[in-house]
Order: sequence, then C-alpha cells, then structure tokens
Amino acid sequence: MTPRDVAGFLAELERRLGGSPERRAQVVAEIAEHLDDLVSEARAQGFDQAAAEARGVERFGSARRLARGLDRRPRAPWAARIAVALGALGLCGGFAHVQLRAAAPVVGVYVSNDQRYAGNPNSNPNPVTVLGQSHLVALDPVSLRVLRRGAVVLTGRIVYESLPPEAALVAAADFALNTALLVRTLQPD
Amino acid sequence: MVLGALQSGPAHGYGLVLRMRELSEGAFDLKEGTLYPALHRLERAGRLASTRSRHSGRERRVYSLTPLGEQALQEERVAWTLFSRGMRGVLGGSG
Repeated sequence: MTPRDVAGFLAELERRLGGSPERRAQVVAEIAEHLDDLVSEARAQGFDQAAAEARGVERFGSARRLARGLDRRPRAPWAARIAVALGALGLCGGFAHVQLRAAAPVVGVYVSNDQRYAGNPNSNPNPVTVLGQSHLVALDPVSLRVLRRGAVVLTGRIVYESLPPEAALVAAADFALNTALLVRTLQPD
Repeated sequence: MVLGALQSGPAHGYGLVLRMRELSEGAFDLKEGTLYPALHRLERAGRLASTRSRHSGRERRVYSLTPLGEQALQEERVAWTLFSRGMRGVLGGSG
C-alpha cells in the first residue's frame, strides 16, 4: 500500500524506480518539488500538514504504478506492430467510410430473416444488417450495438438504400477495428 | 494535450497542471500520476526537452517543446479538427 505521507511516498517511489542512482535521484527530486507545491496549496486552503500531504500524494496515485509508468520504454517490435495495425485501421476505416457513405447501391441495410434471432430475448428479433463488399455486421436498430459479424446474410429485405450516419460510423469502426486486430494477430513475434 | 499546453511557453510539472486546468476552464484536471509518465515518455521521444531552471527561488525541472514536438502538435491539431468536424456532422451540433 502506498504511504500517505510525502517522505514515505518518495522513499517507496525511489525503491521501485529502475535505472541508475543518479536518474532515480533526479526523478524523486522532481516529484518532491511538485509535492511541495501541492502541500503548500492545500495548507493555504486550511488543511493541516498530514491532510495536505495525503491530498498531494493521492494525486500521484500508487508509487508502484507511477514508477512503472516512468520506467516504461517503448519496445521496437511491438511499436512496429502497433504502427502496422494503426495504418490498417486508418486505411480500412477510410475504405469502409467511403463504401458506407458514398456507395448506396453497394451498401444497404437489411432486416434479416435469420432465424437465430427469432425468439431470443438477448438479441433483437429484427436486427439491421449492414452490407459492405466483403464485410457485414448486424446492428441492433435501436442501440446500434453490434450483434453479429461475419458471413454475409442474404436472406433479408432491403429497408434503406443508404445508411443513417450513426450506423455508418459504428459499422466503419467495427470493420476497421477487426481488421486491425487481424493484422496484429498475423504479425510474427 | 501536454504538447498543446506547452505551446505558450516552457513550464514545470506543477505549472502544467495549473495551465491545463486554466486553459480548459476546469474541464481537465490532469492527475500527476498520469502527467509525469507522459512528460518523460515525450522527452524520450524527442518531442520535449527539459532543463533545470530557477522558479520562485527554487530549482525546477522545466519542459519545453522541441521542433519535433511542434510538428507533432501541428499534426494532432489537424487530426483533431477533422475528427471534431466529423463528429459535429454526425451529431448535428452547430459548435
């Protein structure tokens, strides 16, 4: 448990920080300066010394988590993976956005006849299905929550020729996110 | 946000918290436990530089934007403008 007094907090932070003694001393000095300001501010508001220190320490959260955050180094392979995923996210999001927004004949909204939804109290019996060229998601027509994604369901009837913007946004985000996750999964360790 | 708060000039950690609170009219009260890891990470990435300097009679570590940080801020600003414009269109807001 993180101490609630400044001296105890700083001692625990120093114990948990990595790196050279010089680096640890520099970081602790910087945090100590900030805590000084917070304690002075709380004292000026009428808190006693113990309460002022507790308030200051509270703003930093746990010493363990702070030390971990300060020590964190970006790992190149992981960073590269994230970059690929984000690139795919942008690309696919843009693609889906264009498809969903501009291509009314390609993108439609279906009321599915899929019997799996019928009589299921946890699902909408009348889901709206958003069609793209190679991707499909079923949205709850009221909440726009994604109910289902995957293989194209063609047994339905078209109720709209174009998407309401909220549905387009949800579908684009879902499409982009899943593609990004797929790219990340396919990255070698 | 940190980069944006530093565009008006260098600041130490405590000053940055106050500046963000003021600039956002109280909407953002960035906790120190979040701020310092972000500052150190941005410095390692070359977007911020830090120096020791005297403030109110005390030695403080002061952060400032580097040219790389200025460039990153500009990119963030463009991205945010596009995002907020899109959201306004979807939500139908006028602001």
